[in-house]
Amino acid sequence: MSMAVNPGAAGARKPFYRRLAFRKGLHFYLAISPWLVGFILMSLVPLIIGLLTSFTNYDGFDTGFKWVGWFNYKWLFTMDKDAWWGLYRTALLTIVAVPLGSIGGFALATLLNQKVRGMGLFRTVFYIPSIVPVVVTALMFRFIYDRDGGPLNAVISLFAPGKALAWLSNDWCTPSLIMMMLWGLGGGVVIYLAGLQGIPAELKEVAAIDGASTWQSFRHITIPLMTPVLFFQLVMGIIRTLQTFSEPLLLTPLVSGGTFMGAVPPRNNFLFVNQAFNQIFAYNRFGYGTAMLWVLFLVVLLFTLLIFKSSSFWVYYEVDQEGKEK
Amino acid sequence: MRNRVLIILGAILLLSAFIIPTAGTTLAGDKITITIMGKSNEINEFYTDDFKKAFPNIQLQVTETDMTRYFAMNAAGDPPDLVRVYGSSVPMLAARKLLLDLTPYFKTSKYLKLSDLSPVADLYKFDGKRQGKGAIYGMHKDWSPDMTIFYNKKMLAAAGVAFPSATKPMTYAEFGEMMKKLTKKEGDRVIQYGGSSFPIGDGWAEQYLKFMCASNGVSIYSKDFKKINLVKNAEVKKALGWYIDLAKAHAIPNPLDPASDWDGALFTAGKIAIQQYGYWFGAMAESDLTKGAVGMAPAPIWGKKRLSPCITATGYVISRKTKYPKEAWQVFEFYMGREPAISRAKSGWGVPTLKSLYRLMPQGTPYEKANYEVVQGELKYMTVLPNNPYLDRNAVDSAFNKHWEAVIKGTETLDAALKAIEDEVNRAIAEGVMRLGE
Repeated sequence: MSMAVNPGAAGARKPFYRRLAFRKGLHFYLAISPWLVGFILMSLVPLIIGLLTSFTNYDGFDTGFKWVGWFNYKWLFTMDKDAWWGLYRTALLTIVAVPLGSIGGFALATLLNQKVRGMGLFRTVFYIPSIVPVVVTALMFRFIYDRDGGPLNAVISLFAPGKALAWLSNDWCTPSLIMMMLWGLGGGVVIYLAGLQGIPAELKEVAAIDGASTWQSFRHITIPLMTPVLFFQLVMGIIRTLQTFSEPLLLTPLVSGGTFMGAVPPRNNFLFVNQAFNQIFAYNRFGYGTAMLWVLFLVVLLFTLLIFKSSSFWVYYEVDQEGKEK
Repeated sequence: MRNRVLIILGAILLLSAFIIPTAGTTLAGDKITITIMGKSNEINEFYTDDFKKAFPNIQLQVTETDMTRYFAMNAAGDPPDLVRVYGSSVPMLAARKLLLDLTPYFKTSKYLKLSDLSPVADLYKFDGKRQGKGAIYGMHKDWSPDMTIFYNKKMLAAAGVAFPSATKPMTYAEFGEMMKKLTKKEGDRVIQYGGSSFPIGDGWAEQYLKFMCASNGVSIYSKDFKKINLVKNAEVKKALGWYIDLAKAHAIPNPLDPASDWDGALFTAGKIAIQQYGYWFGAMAESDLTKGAVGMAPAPIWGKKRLSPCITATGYVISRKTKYPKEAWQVFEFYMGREPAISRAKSGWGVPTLKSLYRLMPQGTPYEKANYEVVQGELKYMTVLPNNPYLDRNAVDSAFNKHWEAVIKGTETLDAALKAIEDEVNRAIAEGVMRLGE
């Protein structure tokens, strides 16, 4: 009598590659494989290489570099005053620009959420600045900020004849930078609009019937229901602003033209990533620069975790975090 | 059936991620591809019909000049075959053994005779310790005496300022006074800058400082380039004092008087009266506003010795790791010594690379002839100011950039700034020395 087991018989154990769970998993990973391969090759591997580089004194030219252990990190925390100044200015920029951007974007979206003829055109006009490349934006704002011939000072001199502010100099460079960054706040409006349009109209109707004013309705219905969107914009804004680098550099006036690897923004716009760039490309300190960027990553992570932690106090979700309706 | 289709599609997508990026990198037929990192508008000068006829087996691939990409290509062990560089970068690159020694190629070249190279070619020589002698690693594509003066005759006439002599150089004191006299302000605005010189902020401050100090026989570096001396260097303080004085008088664009465009554009827009740039600027100095009103004068004198250095000398080098040195040299030789060099000589954008081509410099108009005469007068004062092999060319200026505004404003003393700059640069030099195993 044959002892062979019929694979189709009830109770028989299938080979692993024919089990449903395995095949479902295989289909999943094959489907996401292009992204996964791209992530591993373009993001994860460079991150690991960057981390390893931060423990060396690599100069970009492969000449005599060696493992230096924690030296780069120790130098950063104990000796590099410019890096700490840059971190301070970056934090200041974040504290000012992010709330202004979030509140400004929310206010703009509220205005653009009206049922008014031509609203589509207004939404387009406010959105367009966010898709203009940063180099073009900076060139445009350098012209606007020109002390001697720019339109901004031309307007100021209408009210104060002879007065002209050096918007690109150290005294005014940070407000100039913030104004330029806020010019693109239309980009966040799209997300706010989606959130605003997701608020059930019945809630506002019921509130109106109960005698609530527009402001009360906005304060007690719209804002709470928009807190998840505000939270998202806040987190993304902080992550983005902590990494600001190109805008201050592009706004730096260079006497004999162009940008160059040793360019340094005015002191008040000298941000943390500008110092990292400077260390890498003016001093060939690739190891030290990548150490700085890894420290920045940890700072961004810390800020993000703090905001996530705080969200339980001020972010309202219609369903709780385990997916159950409240 | 559906599952099999999904699996096959996923496998195709996965494989395509590896195949497609490599599909374009195979050589076409028997042709050798030479990669040039340079400016795309210059590459057209390489890849002419004459070139294609002369070298049918060579095709050129151009990468726009990008230092970050250059680092990446070097790190990958596949640097560009030809690289556009400033002469000031050559010591650093040669010391790190990144450049091919072209001396044997020059010795046997039909078109590039060592005796015919202009003196500026010394910027591409490096003997392992000092720029200016030893093996030759490349060549400038053209050059200029970089400290000459261009002035707007109308602006000078309107201010009652005599034109600078075309043969006898001004002193820096006279140059400074002229710029102050030519400055016009209206309230807080500067509507006309007297001039532009010593462009702090742009990578050239180190070169200007070296030039001014060399005029009195002083160097900003120690003899072996292992230290920069700024704090105890009276000549450095005098030179920087000259610049700070002009900045405080709003006579030149500076961090307190930031201009929205570079000074060359301001000159052609009629907003700067005197510009300190090389012969090359003459080709663009005459705009619609300044046409017929531009004059050229010799480089001003700072100290006892008259000098007229070339500080840029943009040119090309060949990477030591090139897989095709013979073909790379053929491309190099063609560009530097044949039809493109002749065309560049006639363009007026620079003094030719070869002395035998000087006669081709444009002299068709009175303006061109006048500029040519000034350059001829500068040739005997032409000098090469060696650059530091342990430092990137941007390092010194980058250190200066962090302190300039505070020094001009007076919130930081010059001594404190020079101490901070000296410490920063000396640390970078020490790292460079260590990396080269010295």
